[in-house]
Amino acid sequence: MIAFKWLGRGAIAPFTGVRWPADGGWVSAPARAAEGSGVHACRLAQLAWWVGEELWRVELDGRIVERETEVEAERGRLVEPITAWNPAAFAQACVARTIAFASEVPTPEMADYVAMVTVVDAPTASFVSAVAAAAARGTQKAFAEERALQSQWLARALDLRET
Amino acid sequence: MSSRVPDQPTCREIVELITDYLEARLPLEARTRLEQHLVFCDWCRVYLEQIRQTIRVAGAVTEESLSPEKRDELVRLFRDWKGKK
Repeated sequence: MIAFKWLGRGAIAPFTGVRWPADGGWVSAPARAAEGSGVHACRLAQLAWWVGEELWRVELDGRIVERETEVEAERGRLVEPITAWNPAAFAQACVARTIAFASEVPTPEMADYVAMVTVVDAPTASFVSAVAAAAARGTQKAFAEERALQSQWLARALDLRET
Repeated sequence: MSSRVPDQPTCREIVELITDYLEARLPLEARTRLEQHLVFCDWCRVYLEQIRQTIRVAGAVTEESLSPEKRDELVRLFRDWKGKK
């Protein structure tokens, strides 16, 4: 299965510190790993939940579990970096979304989000935009919906497909 | 910031969960939420790394590697701490 994985600079996993082999070598979960301790990646629709410094197309293998915001597999390997990934452009898109939410609901809280989203990095801008969506719509569901829309934006801007 | 979003964990809640996270004792949903918080929160990422380093360093210290003076000092500090609890 082909999926996508966000990593830190140098193909380092952001939470475990594992360095993924850039030559395509397999990274495997420990034998009999507990649920949730496998190799994590995401579908296109889940991209915005995990924004990082590097984005890679990955191949997953073995038992694969699909979850709401991630995919977990027994093993995975890097296929190619998505070199079109542009954090500044994505952050700018999140700024535009947040400004739009603040226009819909012009409150001091929304003005705070606009002030904040303009000075933060891409992962934080993504979060702030989702928070602003939830605040503007008055529903928690809007938080996840905004992440989905951000993921669509990423897939379109980076010309990504899951094939 | 995240305290305004009822469905999202706050930094304070994340800090309380870090040890369980490092020991792989968190339920899957809590672990996912914690990692989603770490994606955008520099402070919690730094805190996580500090705890990781502490575990690495503390884990390398054995009773034999301590001088008698250091050992006595540690025992005294521990007794003082227990006495205050």
